[in-house]
Amino acid sequence: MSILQTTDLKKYYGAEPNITRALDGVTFSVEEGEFVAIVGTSGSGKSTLLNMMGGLDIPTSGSVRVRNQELADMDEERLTIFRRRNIGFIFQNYNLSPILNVYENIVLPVELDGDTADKKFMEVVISMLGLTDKLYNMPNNLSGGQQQRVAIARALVAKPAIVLADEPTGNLDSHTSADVLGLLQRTSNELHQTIVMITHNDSIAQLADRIIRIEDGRIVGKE
Amino acid sequence: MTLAFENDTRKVIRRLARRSMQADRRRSLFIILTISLAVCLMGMLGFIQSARKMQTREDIQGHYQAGCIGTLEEIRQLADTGKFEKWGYTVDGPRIRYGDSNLSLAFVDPGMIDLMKSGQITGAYPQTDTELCIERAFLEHFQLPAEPGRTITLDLGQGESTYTIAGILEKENISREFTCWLSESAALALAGHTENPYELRFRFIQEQPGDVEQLRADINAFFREMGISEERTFFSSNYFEAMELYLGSDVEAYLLSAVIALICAVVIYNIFYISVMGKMREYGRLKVLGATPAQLRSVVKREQRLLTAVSIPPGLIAAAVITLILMPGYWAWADNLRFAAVISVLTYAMVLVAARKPLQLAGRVSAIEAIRTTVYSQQQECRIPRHNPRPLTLPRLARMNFSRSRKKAFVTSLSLSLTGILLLCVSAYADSIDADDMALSQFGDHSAYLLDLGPHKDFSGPDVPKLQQENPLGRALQEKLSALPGIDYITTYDQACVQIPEIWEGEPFHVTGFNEEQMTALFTEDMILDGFVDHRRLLHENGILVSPGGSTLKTVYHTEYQPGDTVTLESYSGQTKTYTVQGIVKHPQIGPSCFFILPTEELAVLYPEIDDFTTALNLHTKKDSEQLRQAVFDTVTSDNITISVLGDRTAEIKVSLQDEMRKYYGILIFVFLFSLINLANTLITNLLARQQEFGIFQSVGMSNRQLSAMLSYECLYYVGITLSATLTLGTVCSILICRSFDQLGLFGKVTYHFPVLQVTLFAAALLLVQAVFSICAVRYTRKLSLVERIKAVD
Repeated sequence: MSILQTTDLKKYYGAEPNITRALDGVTFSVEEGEFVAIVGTSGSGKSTLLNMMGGLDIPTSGSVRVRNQELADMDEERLTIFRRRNIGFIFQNYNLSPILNVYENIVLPVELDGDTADKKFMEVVISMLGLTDKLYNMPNNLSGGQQQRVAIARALVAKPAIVLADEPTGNLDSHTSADVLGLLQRTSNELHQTIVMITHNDSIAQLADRIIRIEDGRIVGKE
Repeated sequence: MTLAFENDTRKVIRRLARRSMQADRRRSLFIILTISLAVCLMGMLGFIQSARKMQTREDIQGHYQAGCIGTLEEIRQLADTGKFEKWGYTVDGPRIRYGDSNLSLAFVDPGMIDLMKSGQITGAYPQTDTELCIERAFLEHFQLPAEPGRTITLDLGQGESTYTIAGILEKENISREFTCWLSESAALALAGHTENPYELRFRFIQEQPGDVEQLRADINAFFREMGISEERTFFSSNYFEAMELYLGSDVEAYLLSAVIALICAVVIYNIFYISVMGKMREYGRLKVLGATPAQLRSVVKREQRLLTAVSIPPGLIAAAVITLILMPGYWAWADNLRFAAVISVLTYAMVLVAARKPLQLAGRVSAIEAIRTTVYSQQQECRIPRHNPRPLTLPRLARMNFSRSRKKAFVTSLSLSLTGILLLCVSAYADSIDADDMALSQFGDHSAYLLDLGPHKDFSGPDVPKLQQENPLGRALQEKLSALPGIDYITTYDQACVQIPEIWEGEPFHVTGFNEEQMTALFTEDMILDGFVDHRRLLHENGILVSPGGSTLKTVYHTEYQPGDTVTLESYSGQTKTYTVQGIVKHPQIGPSCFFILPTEELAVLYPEIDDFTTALNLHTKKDSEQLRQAVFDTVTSDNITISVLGDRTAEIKVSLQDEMRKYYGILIFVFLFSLINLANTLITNLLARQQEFGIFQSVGMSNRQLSAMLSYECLYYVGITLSATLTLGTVCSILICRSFDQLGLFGKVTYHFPVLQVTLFAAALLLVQAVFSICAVRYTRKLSLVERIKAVD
């Protein structure tokens, strides 16, 4: 079952003749439980694509459907609520709230929804990510790898339809990168979580179930 | 200063400071605005103070210096000498009673109107005996037609007649003491057959302006030369003696300036602190590149100096403009330049002190720490309980944000709270003062009506004993007044008018006489400053009591008495007697004032020809009314009695209290503006610094509404703290202030009233700021896309 679909997705900046085509007719879909890597060089449009998929940015034209719901049809308020229930984000620079401790960062999307986190599921996630001892630490006191684990936990805890990871290892050393990528793989396998990861690194992309290559805003290959 | 062996780095420091200011325009604007506002407010206090002094000086000095009575011919002769800078003359008619008010009749020539600044005339000055010029307040009070050309029926002492209103005198008057100007011939007819009906007043052309003693000597010589005897001349005691008494001092302006400077310093400290904290990374980078702590401090110091230099002139200009609008024509260059210099120095010192700590922080930053410093750095110190199951509600998130920089939050709350506390104190004081009680504490012997001997309040000199020989305040009148329905009882006080050449030749002084009962009742222990009060000993040992009236005797007459000193009193009928000072006492509140007190029996020694020395009569009533007022005025038919009414005094006090409070509320508005600048700076800085964080929150599902609510709660914490401090500390302070004033007794009974309206308005203003902020904050946040905000780096 397709959990995410993009159809002829376009994102243009500026106007002719100086128009920049960040995305130029991208169409693909992601199946439930799939771990997909989107690979491209710097400036290829992969981050723009991720932002469109996550409803963080608005496309010039085309459609993004998550769980069969068209993101473009939603107003800002509805989109925000949809996002916190259905989409988890993992950013390159972790983007943890510095004023919240690890536990609070993890439960933030759930609690913003006025809900409480599924304790059992959370324990599984926390234990899998090795954060049990760090729950009450502040983000500043954690290493980069630990912070990224917290970001992964935060992305997973609301049991989203899809997790979007934007260069999740971009700020980490090779050892920690391997560790984080292993965790993403385990998450995909053990929790049957759909993940779309963006990377410029081909060897990292190889860990995914499927690779989509993007160049100059267009899909140039699917493996 | 660059030493010979050092490299000159001033250029790069100048450039860094300039760029820093350009890069942080908002902060620079806030600092300029704060300093300018403070300078403007301090400047206004100073400039208006000097303008008021100038106005007072002009009022006192500009009127007249000396004068004399005489015939019209004599006056013309004097004026024709060309020795007067300004002059004018009057013919004083009687002071008549009209309804429940007093009407002073006179002819006043145009020169006198100008000299005495008597007010503007709408219409014309009366030319015939059936015309008059009367105060607008009089016409309005009696609901008479207030239009030139209309006729009114008045009894000006010669039976009722119809008069045409030639002119209306426009001047502020809230009392019921009115002026009516007549034609010269009409005033002469009313003045009766006096030898010297004309009174001349003038300002002398001075060869050496400012030398008052020389001026007095010159005027005396002039009078002698022109053949005007000394007893026909008079000098303005205000001009020659009491100037300083009226001018007051600049202490109040300086004190208020110091308070403003303090509040402004708190705001500037916070703005600089936030700014330096926000620039720690930049300073760290500079340090990595080789900037020394001294150089970093120099950059901040230079910014500080430039901002102060830029801020002071607009503040002073604004203050000058406001002063010129409020008090046109009263610009005292010398005083104002002095004030401007003091304010500039005070402001610079205030900025130096306020920016000292941020300056040290900038200098002390270590390169690596600075690079690690973010706006969230202080969060590391935050301790969150290990087991923390509390849900992340929006108020809790807001509280976390609020407390992330406690110092910033504290200083911002402090400046807002100071405003609240000041507001509560001022408004509680304003609401708690009882103008009726205040008037009562200053009026008569706490009576409702005070009847003084003489046609006017300042009646003095040899005419007093003449009038006392057939005293209009005598027993007959007292009995009539006692019988009026509503009058509870009356009290009377005796005085005699004498001369004391050892103090001032020719100056009349009043001596009060008390009987034993009065003396015992009035001079309780707390009223005696030195020596003793014993009626019998005063009588048997030729004793006298001195009541220096605070420092008035010393200030005006340059005289001081101690127990044991002697005073020689000379009556106008030639009796002389020397008394020994037995006690120095506070002035008893009886109505008329005086410096010397004797047993009543001694007044008869000075004036054996007088039987009744009554000079003041106080009417006491529990419930005053218009009917009673009318009855009192109707009963007192003599023009040689001045009636003062407590109700009029209350009205005057209410007006002056309103003026005073307007001034304090004006200052409070400025102080509130400082606090708002501080709050705005804190909130805006937070908002700008946390765009990325908001992006994070929104990327994980915080809606705009939730963001707005969170920011509202954050602002609400400031509002909450401010209101809590206002309601607790402010209430305590205001109660203490009101109690102190109550104990001092200067303002009558001060009964504490909580200023509900003012505090509600203050709370509403704060809540309005909070609402506006949350709307603007979300609008600003929306300007950047979520993606841009997430990627934002400081």
